[in-house]
Amino acid sequence: MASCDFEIQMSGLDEAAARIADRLTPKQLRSLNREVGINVRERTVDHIAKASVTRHKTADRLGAMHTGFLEFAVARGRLRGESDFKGKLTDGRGRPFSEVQDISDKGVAVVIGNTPGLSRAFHSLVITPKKAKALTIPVHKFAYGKSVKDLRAEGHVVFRVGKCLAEDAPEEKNGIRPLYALMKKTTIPQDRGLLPKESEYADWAADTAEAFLELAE
Amino acid sequence: MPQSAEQGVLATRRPTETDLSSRELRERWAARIKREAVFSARTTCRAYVDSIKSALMAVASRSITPDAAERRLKGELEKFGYAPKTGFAGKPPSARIPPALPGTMTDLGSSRRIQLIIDTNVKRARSMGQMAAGENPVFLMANPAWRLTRTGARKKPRGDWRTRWKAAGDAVAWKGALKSQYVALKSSPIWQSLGDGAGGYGDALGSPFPPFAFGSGLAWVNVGRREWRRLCEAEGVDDGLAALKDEAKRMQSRGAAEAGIPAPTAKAVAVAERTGGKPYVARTAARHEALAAVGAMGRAVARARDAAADAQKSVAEALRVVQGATAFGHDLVAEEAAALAPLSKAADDAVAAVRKIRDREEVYRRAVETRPLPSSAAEQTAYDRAVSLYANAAANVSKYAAEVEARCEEWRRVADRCGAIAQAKVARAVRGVR
Repeated sequence: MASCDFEIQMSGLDEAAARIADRLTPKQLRSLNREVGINVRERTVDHIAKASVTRHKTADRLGAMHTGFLEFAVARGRLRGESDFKGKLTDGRGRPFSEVQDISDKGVAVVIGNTPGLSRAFHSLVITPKKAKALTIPVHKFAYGKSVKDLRAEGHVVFRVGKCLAEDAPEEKNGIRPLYALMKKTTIPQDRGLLPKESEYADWAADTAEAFLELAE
Repeated sequence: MPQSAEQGVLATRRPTETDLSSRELRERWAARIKREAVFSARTTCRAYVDSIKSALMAVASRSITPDAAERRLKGELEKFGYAPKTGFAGKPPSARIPPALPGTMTDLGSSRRIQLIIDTNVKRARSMGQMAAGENPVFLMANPAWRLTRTGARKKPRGDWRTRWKAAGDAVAWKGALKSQYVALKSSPIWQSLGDGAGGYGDALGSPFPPFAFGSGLAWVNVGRREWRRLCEAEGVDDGLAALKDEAKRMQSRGAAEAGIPAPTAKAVAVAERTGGKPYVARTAARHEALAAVGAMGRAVARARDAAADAQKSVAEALRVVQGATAFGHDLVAEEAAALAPLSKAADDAVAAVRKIRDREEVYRRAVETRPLPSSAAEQTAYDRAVSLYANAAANVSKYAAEVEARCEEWRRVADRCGAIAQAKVARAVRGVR
């Protein structure tokens, strides 16, 4: 699946924060924007966590266990060090996780992602194989969330039958159990609900501005 | 590579082997120990518990998936010669662990069991990472509450969360919590009540953060301050934001003190206006050390409190067994009864002693934090001397609490040993009677 980093640019805040902007020094504005970035990051990760509950249609249809790929994205989103600014946090392969960046008195950027599947929030995905000749699409719960290599490691004897990969299963019709369908490409439709709406980002920025001002009193 | 919050939490957890059941674990072990220890009910092989911790760290760092972790742990069990009916090879079968039915939750090698262990421990670490975000006072003020909501789909969700929420809320008089939704202030005692299984739920985990029960798919999401105000208004309850503001301001000044940033005082500003010069910048190292000592004291007292409570429970349990054993003759467990006799009063005294000192942390902390910073070099010496007194006092209390903890640990061990011996003697006597 394609993976992407996505960036949420917060600038100009909403009218609640804009009203107080002229009362704050540039340093205070930077502090405020940093806090906005932290809040937006946390709330976006919360949103993805909630969204993940209903994003397992294939697993549910097959009666398989969920792989938890979106929960993984949430977990990555929650990973952080002692401070947001002590260097970048990376996964085992050196890719960045969520972080608050580009803080200025004008705004802030929050980067979340580098996780397969989240790019569906912006557009549909057409998946084609990189090195193999065909995609392996699971059609049985035994195969869901596992590669052919994983299944073979578990002792399944997987072989090709026409346009699918299958294994022997005397109890099944025709004596074989189809595990994967082989396809040249597949299209995954856009899923806007994966990420929050713009109005929610504005609400979170306003919450932060209100809290910041109240503490500064 | 910097460690994630999850990895940091898991790295501090000590593996612990035990042959107690989950319900007994909850009752016998302090919640704090459970938070600190990676454990698995009825797992008596320390090396395998170490393997569990290593697998959890790998899942937390995303270097392996939960499925791969499961395969790894199954391989480890095979290496240790585990079988459901006979347990671990080379380990004496524990009298407390009945043979496990293969494929069920009592079978250490079942997928259900292993996935539950991985899922529960990693989710607990994630929740603690969420709580860490609340250490930021602005974030806490902007998101004062949690909503408990489903983030993990389940084929058969528990249907009793409404009842659990009501029982937990009733137990704490709904302080900081809403009745109509699973929403409460982050500081509300309802979260601990839920984790304690208020209402008699035996599958609760004893922690004030999700998952609140084994296999639960519910987790926290933040609730913003405006949404929280709207919800409280709709329910006609106080939103508690004024008290939260005080707490956030205290967090801010604690953070500033630890960073060596002087808190501005009216006096310092007045001096600067009078002299026309810069205000005196107070040295806060002594304040920082005093607060650190007070914090350490609080932790030591909490450990002593837990150890005393454990010792009290263990002694009571052992005495119950010994008293029951006298039905087979007073001589049968005379030795154990004699060993336990002085421990009951000793444990009660320890509990009472710790109760007397439990408020010291709050008192000392307030005294140090509210003391005005010095506005001149002359005042600095007196200030440092004054806050150092609290640091010394806190250190003394910490030492005392550590002694109490050590003694109570020893008493608990003696009581557990006496209880186990008495139980074994009773079992032999019963077999003899039959």
